[in-house]
Amino acid sequence: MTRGPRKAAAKGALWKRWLVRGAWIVGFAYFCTLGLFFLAAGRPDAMVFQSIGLAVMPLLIVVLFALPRGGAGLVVLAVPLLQAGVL
Amino acid sequence: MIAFMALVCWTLALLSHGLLQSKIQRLLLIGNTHATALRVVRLVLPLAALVLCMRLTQPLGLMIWLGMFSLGGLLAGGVLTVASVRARKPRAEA
Amino acid sequence: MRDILRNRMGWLHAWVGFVCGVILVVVFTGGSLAMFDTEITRWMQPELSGLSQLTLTEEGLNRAGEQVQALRDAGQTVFLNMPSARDPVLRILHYDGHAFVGPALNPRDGSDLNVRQTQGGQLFFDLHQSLYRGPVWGNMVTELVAIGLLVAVFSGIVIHFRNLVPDLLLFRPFAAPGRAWLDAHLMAGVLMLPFIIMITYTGAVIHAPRLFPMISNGYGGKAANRPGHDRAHGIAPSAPLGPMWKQAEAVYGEGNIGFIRFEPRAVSFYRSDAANFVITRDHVDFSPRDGQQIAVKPGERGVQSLGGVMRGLHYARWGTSGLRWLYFICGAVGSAMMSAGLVLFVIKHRRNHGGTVRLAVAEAFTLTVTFGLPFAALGFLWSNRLIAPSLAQRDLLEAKVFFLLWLCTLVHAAVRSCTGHVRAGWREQAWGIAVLGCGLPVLDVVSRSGTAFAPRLDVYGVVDACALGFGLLAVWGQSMIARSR
Repeated sequence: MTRGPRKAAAKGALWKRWLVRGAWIVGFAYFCTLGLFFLAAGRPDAMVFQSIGLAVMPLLIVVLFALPRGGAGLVVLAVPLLQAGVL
Repeated sequence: MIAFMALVCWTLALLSHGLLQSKIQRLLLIGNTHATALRVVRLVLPLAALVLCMRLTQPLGLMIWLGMFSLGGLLAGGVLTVASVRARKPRAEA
Repeated sequence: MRDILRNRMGWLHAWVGFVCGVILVVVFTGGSLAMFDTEITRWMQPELSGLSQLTLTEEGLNRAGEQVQALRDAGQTVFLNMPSARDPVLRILHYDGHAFVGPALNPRDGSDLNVRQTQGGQLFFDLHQSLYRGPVWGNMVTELVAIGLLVAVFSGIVIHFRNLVPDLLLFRPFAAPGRAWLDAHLMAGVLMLPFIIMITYTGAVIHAPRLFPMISNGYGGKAANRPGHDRAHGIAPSAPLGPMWKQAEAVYGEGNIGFIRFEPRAVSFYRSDAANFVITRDHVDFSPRDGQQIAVKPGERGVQSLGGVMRGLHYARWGTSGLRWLYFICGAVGSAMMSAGLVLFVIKHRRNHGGTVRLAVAEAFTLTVTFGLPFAALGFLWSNRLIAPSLAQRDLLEAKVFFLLWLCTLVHAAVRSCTGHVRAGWREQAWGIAVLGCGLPVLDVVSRSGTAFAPRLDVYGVVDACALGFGLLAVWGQSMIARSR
């Protein structure tokens, strides 16, 4: 168990780690949604995909944040493949 | 009128739901009595409200049903809060 | 702190919730008020209070058409808003960058009613949709915080998943402050969850083109249909509007025409947004030369109308006044729920960061959006009656009063937070709301003496009653703050 200054430093490091992770996750979710919109562009039901994309984007951010590092990595790989498969 | 009936149904159903919770029972100093009746009320009244709201044009009916859940919950929560504050007073005075 | 799911979600919920929440309280409060933007505008034009229910005549519409034509000849881009149950007068409107403003006309004979210039309730609409910062950057910020709210909602559900249903109605005002605020935050949040998810999601979809520009041909197609944006003034309409109006009503039904837009090659009668749940902007086009019907143009149908469904759900213009009140209450409670979340964040961080500038800033923003905004909104209504009706550009002056008052509450909150008297700051701003809210009905009666004593429940009475209600609520709120530990 860490105490005093070391505890504060550990907490600060954790905070920074989460912030960096958060930035990566938001960026990834944005580009996934962007990719979905590009792939769906021109389809007659593009608007449905756009609506779904906007609902999934915040969910994806939460899921990626919830998963441990390995699980998040798998999702990062799976989402673009899923997009390509569906569209 | 339908909206009002839906509100009454939701308020009673959510009151029943609240009275079934052990934390609220402890706050109100009541036991787990009439549990079966409360469970039936909790199950039946929201469905009754839904049936009533389906008589309205859609999607207005659905929105009223969901909206009355929110308002009914606020009313039921308010009633339970007042009751728990009153139940607490004699203990505090003692 | 262990790196477990609950902690990760807690971090995400707290920080995304606080950063977005400061803006979201403004968005929700503004949106709640914007549900009654038309009624607030009418309250802010007391010259209309003496009008009895008027019916639109062909003569009135023809006269209005002539005035529109004169304005278009002078180079102005205007459209004509038709009378409705919510607003019984004709209005020649133009977009001033924040609101649709312009003169109100008597629908019976088209005469100018000489109402005072005001942005009215549309100030709150603009505050809600773009924070009064314009349709590009303002919309982008509100779009970002809408997605932030969805993230905060989903992460909040994960954090409290096990206790959401059992603790649905659990509120213990006598518990420790942190616990009591958490109870209030959770109860309001879970009870309002259907509304919050619906309104946030539809709002995010409506403004999605700001964040994802490539979908501007989808949802953003609305911009092309927005009245008041046509720049061409090539051919002025010369044919009278009355006969066209009758033909348009034959297509869409009596009282279902929302507004008339004037383009170089057509005069378009748009179906009212209140006529149908899906906002499709169907319209009938007429030749401006001879008034002959050119075409009936239906809006999008099928999957393409999804954008209209989202707008219909979000704006609720099709709804009854009861539905608008439901939206108003849910929005106001949602706003209070988010304020409770901001207070919780501050309480939590006060333990470790008490006395720091960072915490003082957080406290100041929390107070400013929670109490400062309603205070400024009431001040906006006061300014409407105190500024001379004939003053040039008085509508901009009213908006300036609103933002100046809001800035004053920020400065006040910052001073109180930095000097360690934030609790006194909350009470003082609550007193401010109480004074302005309870005094507004008196001001209305004094400044509208000709018609103020008519015994009827109109927009004036309802706005006064609401202001009085919020004033009394603020009195009770400040007494609770004084009594709390």
